[in-house]
Amino acid sequence: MATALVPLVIAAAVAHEVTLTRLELSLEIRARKNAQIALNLLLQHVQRVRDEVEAFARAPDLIELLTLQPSLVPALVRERARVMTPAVVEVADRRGKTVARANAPGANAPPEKTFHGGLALLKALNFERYITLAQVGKDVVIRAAVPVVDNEFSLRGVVISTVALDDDLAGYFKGVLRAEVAFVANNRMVGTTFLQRGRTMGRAELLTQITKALGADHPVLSLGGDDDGEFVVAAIPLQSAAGERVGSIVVGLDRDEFITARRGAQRALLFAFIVALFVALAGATMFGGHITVPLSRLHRGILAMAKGDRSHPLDIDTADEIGELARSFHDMRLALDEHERRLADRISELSTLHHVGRTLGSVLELDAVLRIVVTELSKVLRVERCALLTLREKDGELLLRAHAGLGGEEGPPALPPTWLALAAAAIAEHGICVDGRHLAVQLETRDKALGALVLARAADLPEFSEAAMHLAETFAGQAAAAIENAGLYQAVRRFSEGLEREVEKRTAELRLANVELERTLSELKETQTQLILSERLAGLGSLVAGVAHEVNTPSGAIQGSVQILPETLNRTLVLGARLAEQLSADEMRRMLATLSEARPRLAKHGVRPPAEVRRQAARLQRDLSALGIKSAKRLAQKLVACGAEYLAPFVVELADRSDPNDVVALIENLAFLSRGIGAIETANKRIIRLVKALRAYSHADPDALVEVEVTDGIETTLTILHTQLRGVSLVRKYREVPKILVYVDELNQVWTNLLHNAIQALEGEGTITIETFVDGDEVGVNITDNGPGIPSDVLPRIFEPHFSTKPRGEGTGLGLGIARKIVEKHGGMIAVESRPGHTSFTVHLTVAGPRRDEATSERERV
Amino acid sequence: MVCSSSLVRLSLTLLLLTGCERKASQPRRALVIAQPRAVESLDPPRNTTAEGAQVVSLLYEPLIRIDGASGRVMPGLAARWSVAPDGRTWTFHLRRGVRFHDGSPFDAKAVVYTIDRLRNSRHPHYHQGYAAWQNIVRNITAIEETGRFTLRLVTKRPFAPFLRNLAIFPLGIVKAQPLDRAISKTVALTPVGTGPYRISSHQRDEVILTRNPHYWGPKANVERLVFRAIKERRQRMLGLQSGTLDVAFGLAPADRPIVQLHPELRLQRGRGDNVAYLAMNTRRAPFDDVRVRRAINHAVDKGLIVKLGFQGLATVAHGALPPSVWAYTSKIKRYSYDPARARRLLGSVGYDPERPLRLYVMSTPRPYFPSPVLVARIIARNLARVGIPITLVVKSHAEHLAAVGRGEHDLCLLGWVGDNGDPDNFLYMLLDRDNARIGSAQNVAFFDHSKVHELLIAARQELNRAQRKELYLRAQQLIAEEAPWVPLAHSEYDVGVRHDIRGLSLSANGIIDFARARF
Repeated sequence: MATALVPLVIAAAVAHEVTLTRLELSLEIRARKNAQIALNLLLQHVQRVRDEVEAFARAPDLIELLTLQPSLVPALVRERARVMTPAVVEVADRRGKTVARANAPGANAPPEKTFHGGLALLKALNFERYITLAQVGKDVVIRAAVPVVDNEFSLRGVVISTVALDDDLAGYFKGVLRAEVAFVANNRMVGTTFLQRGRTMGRAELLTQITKALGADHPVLSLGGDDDGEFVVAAIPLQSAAGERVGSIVVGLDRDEFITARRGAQRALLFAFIVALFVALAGATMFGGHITVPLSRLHRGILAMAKGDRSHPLDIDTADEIGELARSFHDMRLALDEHERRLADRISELSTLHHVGRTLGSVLELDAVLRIVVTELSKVLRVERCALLTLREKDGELLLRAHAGLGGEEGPPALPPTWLALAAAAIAEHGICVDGRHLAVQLETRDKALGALVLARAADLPEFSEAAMHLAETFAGQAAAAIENAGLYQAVRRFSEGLEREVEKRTAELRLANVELERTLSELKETQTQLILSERLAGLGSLVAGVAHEVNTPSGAIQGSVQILPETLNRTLVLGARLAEQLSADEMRRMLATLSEARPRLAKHGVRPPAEVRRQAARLQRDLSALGIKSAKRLAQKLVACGAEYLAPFVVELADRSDPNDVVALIENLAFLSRGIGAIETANKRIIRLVKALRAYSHADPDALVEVEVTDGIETTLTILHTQLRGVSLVRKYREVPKILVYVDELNQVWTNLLHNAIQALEGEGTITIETFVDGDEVGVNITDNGPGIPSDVLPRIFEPHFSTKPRGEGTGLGLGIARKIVEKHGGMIAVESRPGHTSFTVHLTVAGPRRDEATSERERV
Repeated sequence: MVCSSSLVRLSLTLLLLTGCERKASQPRRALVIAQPRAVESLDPPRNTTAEGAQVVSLLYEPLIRIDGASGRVMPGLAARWSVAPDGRTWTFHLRRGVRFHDGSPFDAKAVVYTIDRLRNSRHPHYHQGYAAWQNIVRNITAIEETGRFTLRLVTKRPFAPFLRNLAIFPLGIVKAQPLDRAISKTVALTPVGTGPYRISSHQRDEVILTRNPHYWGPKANVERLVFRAIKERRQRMLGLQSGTLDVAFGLAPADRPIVQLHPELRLQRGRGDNVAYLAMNTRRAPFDDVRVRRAINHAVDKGLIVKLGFQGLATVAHGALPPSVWAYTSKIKRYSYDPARARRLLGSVGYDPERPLRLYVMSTPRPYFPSPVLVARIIARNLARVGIPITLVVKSHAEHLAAVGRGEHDLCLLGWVGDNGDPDNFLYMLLDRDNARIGSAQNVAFFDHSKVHELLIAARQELNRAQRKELYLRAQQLIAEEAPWVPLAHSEYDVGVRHDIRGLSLSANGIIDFARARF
């Protein structure tokens, strides 16, 4: 039983170890990462210190006081230090002698002797901005030194700021990193948060422990004591600007996480939870009252400040964290005031720009615009005087258009000649010209100089900075745009007036031209209609001729039959009477019945080849002779000739009582009559079909779209063209295709055209293949002939309107141009390919038929 | 139980150890390098900026190489060369066994193609972007293949700087393309080279190069180089600080101390072959008078300028040549800062300003001028003190160049970065009358001195180094006497680099040979 448990126990142990090791490792990685962040945080802090010092070194009041009244510098430094990062701020004169020193609130002053001389001071006295991390005495500090340089580029002094890496800064870092922080000098703990939990360990002891931990495999720092604080630590070195090592930052992550995990593995989770809950509740009850009172005061203070009451007193002077918080809050309030003041300056600058921009956008009155530019610019740059000059276009003279601070309430003030010269220089140079107290910037739009802005600063103000130059340029741009806009407005107004007149004139001209155009168009239309009509008539003439010939053939056949029918009928009647005398009534009835039965067969009998006739007649003659019939040869020949050999037994049967010659003659006549009637019938049918086709070809209602089988029209056309098709073999490859919606007569013209062309191409010999097929929602018809083909130089032009290779009036063609128009009007397309022995026209037609609007418009045009 | 527990612990430890080890020993294979602007083109002569030169010089190699440390001429794709006694006919023996990135062999045809398409504007593959570099091949009158690996180049006259001109990056050798058909856009934009790196990808703001495994010389150590254009200098600094960048070019002066204080970063410094100067327009009064020019030289406080305008990252200049160029001499007339003497000199001339003089300055910082307007203001103040009123004319760099090239200025600030470390590249370009043509002048002092001209031309045609040096010494002495400039400073370059990257060195024109970088 116990042995069975071993694997389980091992597995649990492995899981436990893996979890804990992972956790430990991830803590170590996080600690290292946090050390990196701490370093970047410190460097950020360094930059902030440097920026503050530089800003202070550029302050005009500092430069002035250092030059004129060094005794007033300390007050200025004290005032300034209040709004700077907690630091010791020093100002030295140009010889390096300290003239003022002040502690920013919260800055612990390092021992005084550390603040004299030093590399930073030397560097700054040599005009160099210097910043470093340095070990000064027992401390590690950020030190920034900046020279104070006046307008003459003379050195006036040096500002040095020193920020110690102490407990306070460590506390600030802790707030950001949520980790314990220590600043370690080479062998001294200079600032730390590790000891803030009321632990009894000394700094030296802590440093030893940290050093030991950092040297171990797993950098775990144990602070000992009852609350067994354990931290995973990581360190990152700090170096001076010269690359010397000055210490390090140590970051410690609480191992609580790790410890809890271990406990969790050892004890029941629930139990731990209950204990934690119990402790929390007890703690809250016990310490609640102690904390609430100052907390609520702080709360009131914050609320008051949120409402804007900065002066609300915060009389919390406890020694604990809340007291600390209140004091920081107070400092923050001071800093906030300072920042707010700066922000207000910036906002006013921005809003001025915005205001100017907006005003310029809305005001069209130029002088008002320019007045705004000079007033606002002199306000923002705090210049004494400002003038805006514009170039007179005709002679290039500079005229004063707007000014600020030049006086001259009555009439325009006189400009100093230096101003004019500088303005002229700026214009000539397309740029900024700076001349002592004056700055000139040209007004320019799209490379055209319009004038210049000239500014004069008060003698006691610093020189124009690059930012000021930039701002002046921006204003100049605005003013130039305004001047140009005003000019453009005038030009546009003049132009638009001229434009209106021009437009009227042109409109009249256009109207006239339009009338002319319309007339020409209608004339053209008429001509076109005429042309089409004559083409059609020509085609029709040719058609009529064909049709007439077509009708002639059957009517000729009828005529032929009709001419001989009466005589044959007479002879038949005579023979009938003669036989009636010879035969009994019964025999006569039988004979008539037999003949009547035989008539349709006789009518269908065609002409047989003579050899065949002779062979059959000879056989019949033998049979007849054997039966004792006289003149058997002649009878046999006659019977065979009219296809009535099968009536021979009937002739033999009647031979006793009648003359066989008469019977055969009767049969012969009867056959002749039957054939005549058949011929008339056939001819008549043909005529009827032709008439039908003609009616179908030229549809009664040309405007109606009719749903038809595409082959109907083709067949109709073939019927009409029947006579021309002699010698041409037709191959029909009709597939099942949907019905299509067409203008019947127009489409028939297309088929006529295509088929006629094919027939003509074949010159009485060849094959025309007509194929229908379905292609998507289109029906296609392909008409192919194996004629000589269309010459390649002609092929591209065959669809051109009125193009023809044939003399006018020949054939039925309305021209392939018209054919294409008709197909296109049906929403279809026509294509051709041709080579010798193969010419193929393919017509595609949509099943849906022509689009309604298209159909109408086409119809109107054609 | 005890036994199994310790067993588990042991195996776990081993597991974690191997895990850690793998992590630690995994080599870093890429360097991420930030530049302030994008590379213009991967076609060498279409570049004019340091950014382009930096990338292109890793992809293509010229015939000649200038050693970064010593500044000496070294074999590149040419293994050796000789010049005929006439001093005009050069024979180059090319390195054998070199292959282009596409595997095709390198030979004389490629060299002829590369030089021809640059020097001949009617070449079917000429591009108008090459115009800026045509002057370096202009004096070549003939080029011919004399064998598969030999070729002959003939110059119009004996020309001493010839070899060094062949080492400039636009003459990186590219693979020849058939002339009878139009070159495809891709090939035109990214020709095939032989360098230690080849192109892996090219986007507008990022070029990635990979190591050329078939490189003929010592192969690069780093597998990949990523060049990123990061315009905002604060972003470059942040990237460097947070470890996403390994190298950042174009650090602002204010960021340098932060790099110095960061234990994982360092500043890679390099001397720059450059000069920043104040040029006086010698065609105009009052600078047509040498005494006025000398007075100005005494009036300008160069020490202050170097301190304030360069933050100490420069040395005071006394002549046009930086000390790193071999013909540099300190044996020339030096003008001390002495306003009183300047005033006396001006008084002796009787100079009386009727109008303020115009000092032209660019608003854009340059490698040789980190804060030009500040320098101009200091000079204006210096001159005002000796009685010369000054009007500053501030323009963008492009406009400034055009205006001073036309000679519109009385005084102007300008500088020069040497292309190839040859004295001719400074003295002839900047101070010879040949380059003082109004409209395209490089000699913006319009200094026209026949003796100096003679000396400079003679030095160009003299192939003996010692004699050339002598000629340049005399030219420099004359120039210093005539004082067409106030030479101001030779500034240093620096680049922010992660501390564990070694083998980097900044060459005199600000380019780093990343093929030598290692971790």
